[in-house]
Amino acid sequence: MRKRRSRLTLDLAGYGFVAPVVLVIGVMIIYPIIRSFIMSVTNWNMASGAASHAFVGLKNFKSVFELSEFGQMSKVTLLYTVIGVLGKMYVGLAVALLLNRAFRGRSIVRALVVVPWAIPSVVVATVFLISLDPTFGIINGTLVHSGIIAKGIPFLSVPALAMTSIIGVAVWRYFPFVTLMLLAGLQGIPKELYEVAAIDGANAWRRFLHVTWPLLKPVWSIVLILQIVWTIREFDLVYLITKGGPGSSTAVIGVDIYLNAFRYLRLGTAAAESVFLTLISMIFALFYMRAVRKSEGKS
Amino acid sequence: MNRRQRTGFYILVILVSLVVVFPFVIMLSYSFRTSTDIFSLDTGIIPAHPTLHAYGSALFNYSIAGYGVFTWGINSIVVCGVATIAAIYISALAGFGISRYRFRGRNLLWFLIILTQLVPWIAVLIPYYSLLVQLHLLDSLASLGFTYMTLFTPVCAWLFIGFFQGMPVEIEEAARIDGCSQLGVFHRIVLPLATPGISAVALFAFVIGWGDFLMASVIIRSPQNWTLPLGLVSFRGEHRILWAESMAVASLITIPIVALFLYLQRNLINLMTGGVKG
Amino acid sequence: MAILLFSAVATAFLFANGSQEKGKVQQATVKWDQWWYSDPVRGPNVTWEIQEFEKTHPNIKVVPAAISSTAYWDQIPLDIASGTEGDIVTLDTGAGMNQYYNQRPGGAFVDLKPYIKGYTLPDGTNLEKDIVLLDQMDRNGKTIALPFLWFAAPDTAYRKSDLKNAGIDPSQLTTWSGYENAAKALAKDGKYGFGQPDSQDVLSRWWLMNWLWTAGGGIFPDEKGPYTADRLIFNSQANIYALTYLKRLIDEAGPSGQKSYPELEALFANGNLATMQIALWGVGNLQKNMKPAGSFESDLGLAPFPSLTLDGVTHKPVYVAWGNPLALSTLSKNPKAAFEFMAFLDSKAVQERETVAAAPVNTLVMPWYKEHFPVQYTFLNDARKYTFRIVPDIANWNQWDHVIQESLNAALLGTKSVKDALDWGQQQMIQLLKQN
Repeated sequence: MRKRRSRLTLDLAGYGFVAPVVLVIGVMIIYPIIRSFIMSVTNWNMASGAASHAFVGLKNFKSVFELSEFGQMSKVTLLYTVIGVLGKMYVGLAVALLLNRAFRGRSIVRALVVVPWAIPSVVVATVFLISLDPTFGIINGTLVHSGIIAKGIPFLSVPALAMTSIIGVAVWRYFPFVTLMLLAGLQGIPKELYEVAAIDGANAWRRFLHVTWPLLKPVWSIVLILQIVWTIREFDLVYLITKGGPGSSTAVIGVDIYLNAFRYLRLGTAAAESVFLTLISMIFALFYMRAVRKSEGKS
Repeated sequence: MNRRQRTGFYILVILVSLVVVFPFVIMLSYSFRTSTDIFSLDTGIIPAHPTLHAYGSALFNYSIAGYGVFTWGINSIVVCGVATIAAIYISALAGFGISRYRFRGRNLLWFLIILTQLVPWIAVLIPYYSLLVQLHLLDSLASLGFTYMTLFTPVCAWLFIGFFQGMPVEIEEAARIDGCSQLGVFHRIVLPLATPGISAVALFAFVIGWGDFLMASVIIRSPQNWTLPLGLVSFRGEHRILWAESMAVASLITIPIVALFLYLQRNLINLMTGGVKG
Repeated sequence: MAILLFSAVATAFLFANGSQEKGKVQQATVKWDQWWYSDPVRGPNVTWEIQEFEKTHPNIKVVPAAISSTAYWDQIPLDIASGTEGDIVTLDTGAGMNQYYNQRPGGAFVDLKPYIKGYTLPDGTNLEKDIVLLDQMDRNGKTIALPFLWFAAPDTAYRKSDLKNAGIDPSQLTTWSGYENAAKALAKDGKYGFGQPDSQDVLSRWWLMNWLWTAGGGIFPDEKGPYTADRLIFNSQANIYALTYLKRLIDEAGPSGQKSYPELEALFANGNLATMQIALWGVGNLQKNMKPAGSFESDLGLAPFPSLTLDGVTHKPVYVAWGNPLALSTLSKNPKAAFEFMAFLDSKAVQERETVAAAPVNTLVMPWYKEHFPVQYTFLNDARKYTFRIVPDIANWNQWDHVIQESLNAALLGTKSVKDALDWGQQQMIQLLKQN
């Protein structure tokens, strides 16, 4: 009797604590997302709002796939995500390994590594926009001045270079997060294991492969999944630097949705694309939960 | 490590430090020039004629429809501040609730929090925009504040869950035995103890709003309601591009944030590692 | 249900924000959408115009929107579709009017014919007789906008001293072949010889179409309807020729990377660029910025856009001309008050003031214009000798614009061959026509 009552009280208390967040999430996130799902299967337009939708089934999705841009957009997003994530993860890992050793000034360097992550995306985009300018930018200015090249390199005007540039900027901006996460993971690996491996005659690479990597994998998986989700939906950096250009060569899906909704007013298309993006994010959310549970199991 | 390896190692370290700081330095360097200098192709890393002119011009001479950097700064501070405080409170409650209590639906809620945290903002933006249009609430800082609060909450809750799970329960138990109510325990015991975590989460959330461009650009229209990111982007117009002034404003936007990050970095890192690992 | 909740909470927030003025004197508030309020040169004009107007119309308050020129063209269709545009919307006939007018079923703008009829301003301007371009404002028998200012582009601006030092006679700039030789000769010692705006943000309808038109190409013949797929000439030989020429000139004599108009203007004003394609409003900017002081008066030359002689046929230049008319929103709560202000903007005093960057539509102002802005007057007279054209006024012009931009950009950058870029554009346009 007593146990059940205190159990009920505990339950109620729990509900009390989470009620506000349920309200906020339910009303202001889940409801709009459901609404956007609905919008994507109607011929809703901005002016009529909820008033006059006619159900059009999967027509919007069909038109998204049929547009020659879909292939382009998927290709661009995939390229940006895959290379971007690989860059962030491996650069992050390399720097984490570097910082894992004790050396003089380590705390300073570790503090500096936070800087790219701390600078707001708007500022990052603006700084790179001017730095990469072929005529007025510091990078080209220095290269031309020292005679290495004759004319400035149009970093943002040639599709291949533009893509490289935005991936580079993204890697620079987000690798600190990876580094800090992996560093925490690395520092949880007991030093004795390394000593044992060294005594057994393992060199640096084998020590990494057999000691570090297996124990780092749980954190690695979690960070990897997070980076994938965050990279796929990237908007600010890409839009502010290239606006999806030149042409549509850097129009990742986030930028494409924005342009479709607010510039070309192709709202059905935008809604369909954003449904697509949301579903993908949800799938990765499931992967994330699984990875977290696995890592909890391990520790 | 032998001598050669050691030098190689230090070179790498210096390289990493330079790469990491390089754009920040460029930003400062460009901010100490005048825009005309830039257009006259002064592109070295050290300005030819260093000057504070851009700062003065950006802060005191630059205005769109009569509103300048000061207005936008205040808008940003207020909107982000209020949204952060609201989000922190709601999500701290939630984080505490989920980590301490076992109630039906707890795991589902936890999953939902993770899910909504991973939802791309753009997916929410389009229905928001149409809703705001219908309610005639476009171009209002209150709408933007609401939006930020909504978008901060899942991330903060996610971080708080991890944080509270790492906090020892003994003191709370002691307080409860002493007759303190559930909410009382939260307000009087837990919150004060959680200050390092709260400050880190608050900084995290605040900075997301401080640098947000996407939501602000769609919801806010008039210059009197602009936030700093919108103001920053305005320096690059069709008929004039004020690079030096924009770098000056960028520096002003960035330096406090970087300083705060450096100051709170220990808390931040603990938070992220705790929160991310669930 | 959720909307109720949301709006309840939001309303609470709003009360904290402060409420609107209620129950004041019978004041009509009119919001004016335009894009130059924040411009340091033209912006003060807006303030002055509103002040003068409110002196004689104390019951009307005019509020200018402060939308940047880069954001305006995307924001206005969105605003119109969402029903949040101002009472007065400034348009650009170069961007077409249909894509704005058609954003709402039944048309977004009020028919101004009854307002214009018999309307004479205090300074004697008769709206029906003394305003040019009114006939171009007709859609389906309705007059959907009132002309305000107009422009032409481009002329070729050059530095007389640079040409003299290179031994080039300015008349060389008036033919495509002559211009090419001149530009190449001028591009040396760190200076550039040819300035053509071609960055992402640059609107093809202002800066690139005239090259295609002069060569005998374009989107449709003479850009006249009917707009059907079989009449598309986007991938024609004429367009290929024009783009190839342009790309060659930019590569050989222009600054590297895609350049926007203000960047080129800055290079020209600082003496790093010898010739550039300039618009009417650019002349006003140069008057302020050209260095060294005094060079605007002594060193600035204007040559008409070059004509092209190809296979023995001489193609005279085709200029881009467009107007910035004022439209009255159907959702305006104070249409009469709004029209009062619109008419005021066509008065002699305002027209004289705005012509620092544009040509007046009020014919009574022309003699004054000739006297006070001789350089701009020359520009206009150059242009007037030739044909004016604007892009087709298609309902979803926004998307056509994007296709044209992308196609021309790809060709000029070299990421696609000129032929491939134009073929791609043609295919996209066929798709766009199907959408209608």
